[in-house]
Amino acid sequence: MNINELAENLGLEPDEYLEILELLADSGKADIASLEEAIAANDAEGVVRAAHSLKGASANLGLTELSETAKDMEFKAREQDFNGIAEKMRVLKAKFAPVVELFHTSSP
Amino acid sequence: MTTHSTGIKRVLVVDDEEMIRATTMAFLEKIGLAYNEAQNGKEAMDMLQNEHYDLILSDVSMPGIDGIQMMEEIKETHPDMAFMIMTGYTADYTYADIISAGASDYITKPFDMKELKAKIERIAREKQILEELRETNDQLEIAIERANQMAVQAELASLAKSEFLANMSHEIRTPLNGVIGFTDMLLETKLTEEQIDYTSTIKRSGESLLSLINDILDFSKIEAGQMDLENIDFDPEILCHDVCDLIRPKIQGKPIEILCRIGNEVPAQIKGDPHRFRQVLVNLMGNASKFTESGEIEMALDMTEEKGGSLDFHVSVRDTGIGIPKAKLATIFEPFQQADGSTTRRYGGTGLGLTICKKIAELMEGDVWAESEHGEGTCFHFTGNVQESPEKTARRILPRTLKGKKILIVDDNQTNLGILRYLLESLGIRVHDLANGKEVLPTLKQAVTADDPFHLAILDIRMPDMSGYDIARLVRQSASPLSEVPLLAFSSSVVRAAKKCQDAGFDGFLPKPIRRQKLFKMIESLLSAKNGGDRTGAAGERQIVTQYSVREEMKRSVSFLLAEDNPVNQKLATMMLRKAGYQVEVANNGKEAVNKYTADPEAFHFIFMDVQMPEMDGIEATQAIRKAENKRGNGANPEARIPIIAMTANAMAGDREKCLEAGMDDYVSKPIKRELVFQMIDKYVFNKEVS
Repeated sequence: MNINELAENLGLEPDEYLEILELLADSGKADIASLEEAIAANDAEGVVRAAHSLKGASANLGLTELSETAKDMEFKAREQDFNGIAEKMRVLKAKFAPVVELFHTSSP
Repeated sequence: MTTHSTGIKRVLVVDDEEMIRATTMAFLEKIGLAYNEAQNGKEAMDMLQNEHYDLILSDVSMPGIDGIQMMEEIKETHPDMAFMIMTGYTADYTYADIISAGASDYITKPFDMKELKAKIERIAREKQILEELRETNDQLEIAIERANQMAVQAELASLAKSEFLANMSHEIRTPLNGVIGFTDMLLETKLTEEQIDYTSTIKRSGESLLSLINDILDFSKIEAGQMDLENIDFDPEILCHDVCDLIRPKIQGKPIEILCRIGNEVPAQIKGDPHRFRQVLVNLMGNASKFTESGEIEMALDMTEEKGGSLDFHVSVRDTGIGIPKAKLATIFEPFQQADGSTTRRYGGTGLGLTICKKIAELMEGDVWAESEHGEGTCFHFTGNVQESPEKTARRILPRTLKGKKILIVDDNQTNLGILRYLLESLGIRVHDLANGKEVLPTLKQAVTADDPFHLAILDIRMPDMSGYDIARLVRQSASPLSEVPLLAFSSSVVRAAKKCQDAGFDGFLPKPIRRQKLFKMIESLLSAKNGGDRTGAAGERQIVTQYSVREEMKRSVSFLLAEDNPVNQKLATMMLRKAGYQVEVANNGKEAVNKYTADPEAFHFIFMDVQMPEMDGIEATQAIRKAENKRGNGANPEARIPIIAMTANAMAGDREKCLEAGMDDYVSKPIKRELVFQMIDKYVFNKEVS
């Protein structure tokens, strides 16, 4: 992740960007937890809601791949389509991992 | 040219009389030609199957087919065969018959060798010329084919050239816009006088370079026949005033009045190409400002004919400048021509401006031309056709707070007084005008005595016997309440005038020509400041209101309610909005938004509403807000209700319609961008009529 470039694209200072990214690390964790819960309960509407939230927030921060994966899950869930959702979940988590790590390693 | 001239080498002699054949062949022998003989047409035709001859010398009357019939038949299979017909004294055919049947020549029996030789030579020459002609023709055909191929290539090359030019100009413009944009920003920072001077020079140079590039691109577009006109709605009045505003800084220091007259019949909205329309006006006004040292420049817009939804317009730009010699009036519209060769050096410009203007006018089914007396000024005319706009938004609501106010206007220029009176009276303002500065103080005093004081005085700065500055100082030095009347200065010169006006005691400053909206907002601002009391700054100094500060004040006072549940989006949006200078209040969901709004409806100008939110989504929240407004009795009037802008992610089809149905006014896509926010403010706050 090139923080400087991502920040510049939004017209933000790098530290401002990191401040918002940390919010995403938290809200994203919550979204992913809701996603897993909804998938386990076969709750399509729950998947749509959580994926939509993650999609918008990550798109705002310029994290395109993460956003696209979430969007894919949202749209599939709208159609009640749970095919391959476990694999998508795995990809989503993999894309999200660097965001979380960024704050793990930098915090004491 | 190389001709492998075949000429005439082999001759076939056809005659039923042996004697004649023998004589003729003897002649041919002497001339040095190869020959053969046939007794009749049939035999001759048989021989032609296997042998080649260059010329057939034939008798006319023979048994079987005669000479002419034979010739016609042979021509079918040997179209190039040359014939010479030998005729007797009593011929069945005339000369005309023989030639029109296809013979090259004829010879009358008996003939001598010399005559035969001469005639054969003549035919040989003719054959050779024909052959050369045929060769030339072949070459010509090849050349034409090549030319066609080259034309196709040239067209491709021309396309590539246009594309290259378009790309280039984009590539050049992008960094140049950066230079100009950042220079603008630099000018807004704290700079020394010297730095301001240098920075302004960078900006001016950047802008003239930009206009040069634009001219060159336009010209190449015209050359390539690729200039197309748009057809969209625009307000010609605002456009004309905008152009005057743009030209104003260019006449700084020169005693010139810029006047803008819009005919009463000009609709608030027309359909056409505002960009090109504006381009022509900027060009004509720019020229006028370049070539005028003093006096006035007047732009006038009128509609000359209206027929079935089509409108003919006529713009005139009249100046009191150096004028153009009669002989040059036509040539100034040719590319790279100006009235005088030295003009380019002295006044700058590409020399393409007027050419482009004329072409644009022609595309609008009109024309651009000039009338001038050398030394007496110039009047440019621009005509064309636009469409009537179906949406006639005649939304000129009379602002209540200004209605009935009493305003004094002072200007030595009667045209200006007329325009100002017209504008103010359209608001229901009571107007008193004066053309002489000396009468201002007595008039103000008299009004106070009569217990009907003026609410505002608008003063021209440059007047012959008493300047606006002098009047302002006198007013401020008088006794209360006379000294407290708000004073608005208006002037053609803009450079540092605001500071001078402030020092003289003015409350507001507007450049000429006056724009309706700017004037109204300014007056509103001045009168409300008067009511609110304090317009003095920290150092007890008068704070002057300018056209920009009015807009800035408005912008700074814009306050948003942002309804968004996602903390990331929330933070990003508030950060951006606050950076741009707005005030933002956050609601975490629809319910909070409704509560915050209904608790203090006056506190917000705008609601940005996310659609999907927990507890209460954007649709429900909007419906609730509209319901609350209806209860308060202003929801029915779209002008009075709060604008609600939906923030949609890459929305599903139909989502936007749902938002509008629920009572939202507009939508922006997420993430919201600064320029989009400004567009919304411009649309819903700045451009709302003063009330």
